[in-house]
Amino acid sequence: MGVILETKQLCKFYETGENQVKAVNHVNIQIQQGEFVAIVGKSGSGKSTLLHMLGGLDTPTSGSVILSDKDLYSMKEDQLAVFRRRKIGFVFQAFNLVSSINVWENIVLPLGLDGKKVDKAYVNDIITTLGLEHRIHNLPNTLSGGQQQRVAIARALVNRPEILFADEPTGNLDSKTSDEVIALLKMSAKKYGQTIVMITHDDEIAQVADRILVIEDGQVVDFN
Amino acid sequence: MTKRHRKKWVDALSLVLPVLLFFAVLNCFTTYLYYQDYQCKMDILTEVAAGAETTGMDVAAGWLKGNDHQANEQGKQLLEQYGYWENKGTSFYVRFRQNIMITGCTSAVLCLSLLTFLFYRKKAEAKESRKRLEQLEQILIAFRENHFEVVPDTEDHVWQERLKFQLEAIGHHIQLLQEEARAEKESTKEMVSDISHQLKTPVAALDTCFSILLRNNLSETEQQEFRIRCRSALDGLETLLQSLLEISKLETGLIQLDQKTLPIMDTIISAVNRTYPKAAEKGIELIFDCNESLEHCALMQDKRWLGEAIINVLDNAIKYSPEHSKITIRLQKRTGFVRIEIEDQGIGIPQSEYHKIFQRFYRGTAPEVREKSGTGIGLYLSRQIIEQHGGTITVASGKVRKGSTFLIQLPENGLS
Repeated sequence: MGVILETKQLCKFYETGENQVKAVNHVNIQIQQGEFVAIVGKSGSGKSTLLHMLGGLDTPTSGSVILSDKDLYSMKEDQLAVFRRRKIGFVFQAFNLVSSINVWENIVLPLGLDGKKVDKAYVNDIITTLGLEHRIHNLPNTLSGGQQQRVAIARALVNRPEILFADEPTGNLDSKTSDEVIALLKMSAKKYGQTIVMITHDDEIAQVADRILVIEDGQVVDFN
Repeated sequence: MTKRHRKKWVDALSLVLPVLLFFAVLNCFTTYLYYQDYQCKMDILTEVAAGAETTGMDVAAGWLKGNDHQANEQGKQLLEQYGYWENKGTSFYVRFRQNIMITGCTSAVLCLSLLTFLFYRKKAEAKESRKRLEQLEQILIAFRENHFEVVPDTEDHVWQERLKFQLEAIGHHIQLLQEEARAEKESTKEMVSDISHQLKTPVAALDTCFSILLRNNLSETEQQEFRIRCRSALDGLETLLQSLLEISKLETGLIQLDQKTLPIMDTIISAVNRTYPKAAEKGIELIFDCNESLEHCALMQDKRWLGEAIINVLDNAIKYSPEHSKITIRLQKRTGFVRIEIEDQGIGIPQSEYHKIFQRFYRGTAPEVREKSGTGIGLYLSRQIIEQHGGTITVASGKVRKGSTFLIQLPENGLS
């Protein structure tokens, strides 16, 4: 398989007074196209920092992230923003939906930002896959947590990104809903041919992934 | 006329006609205005010519105030008598004609320049689009030759950005397909070597047994014992071969799941029925816990293979459970998914082995696992089948921290 994402000696250090915190310490990972990778670590292990740098949301202290043959941090800020919008989808723990617009509008929001036409057939297909067809006119705050996360997944998929980053996507959900959301995430990525990088602290959730990476004190170990 | 020529003509006409029409309408309108003006002047003249009854100032004031005015009949007759009415030689008429000519010429010039401009623009556009087509052609040729670096060289920013992204995506997709094909070949190779490795042990055992049996110095009891050993080695080999056959079919893509919408309960019940004898042998109680609404719940499935996947999990649960224990099968309908839990009270699985147990030929490290016969294929096969249904299978420890719970989630609509 082709490598879609690669990091080279990726580091993120924070200076706190005299001390230096090595949140991400010389990480070299490779993620293949179409793979579902789970990065597992306890809280404070540096997994969120790592994910943010992989997705171009946080600048590393040193090292590089190469996504689809492009070095993210050699791009200009506005170039990176466009690149992120077109190639990357994000799913966050807190759903991050816009509360004043309905489900459909939330889902097609990224298309509007990119000035693209809405491919209704594709959007409807996503909506059916995620079981949201009866909810498209609802406002986000009238939905349950699981439903809100499904809307967030639909929104992440709508731009046909090549890679999806999920940051503790089940952190705010009960265990059965979590299982369901993960299964949906996996199914939709398989259906639409996307790569997923998910971080979680939950070993049971991580099993669904094709490969598990463990992060401890800022360093990554391949668990297989 | 060929289709191409016709299109060319239609294109040209669609460019020229609107422009001509626009200027024609504009000219008619200005001519009408000029004529109104001429008429007005002539009407004033009739007043002036007839001007005996009122003073010139009254007439002028009346006209300037915009009073409703008409030609003075008397003045008109006088003008006609002198031959000035409707005479095309008067200076007013000449001015009227001149105005029309100047406007006409100006609009002709403007019309021509506009047409020329449009014509050249269209030509430039055609040239640009031909250039794009050629570039696209080049890129596609490069794709065919396995070069996927796309750099369209054009000043058109939007085109470059948008198309480039799409082309890159197609390039990646093709690459992915190639890689998949290569990976499949690799995995087949890997499997052949794995299988040979798996076959080695039982074949070696058989070999030893037979060599010993062939010796003449064995007592009857010893002979009997080795015969039994041969039998069990052969049995093991047979089971292994059977699973290998299934796994190879599934892996090499020989099996295309034939998915139909069927009731999930039927599949589960027939899987339970097939494992029931083994459970009964160990006095294990199978408990079914499900909502009535699930009885008619249908989902996209290949009944035979999905049944196989569930049987593997149930078999495992029975194999590693103590006698007279319980195995609970729980079914629940969730949004878009059916959730199946299979909970046993067996030896359990350490957390560090959770994801490994679904790997091909992996067997647990616990001594209880080692002493049972097994190939390390069952759960791997189950995961493959379930994932091809768009579902997931995971394991957790049982509710009372004893035994294991396998969780299977199956989507109602499959992967279609």
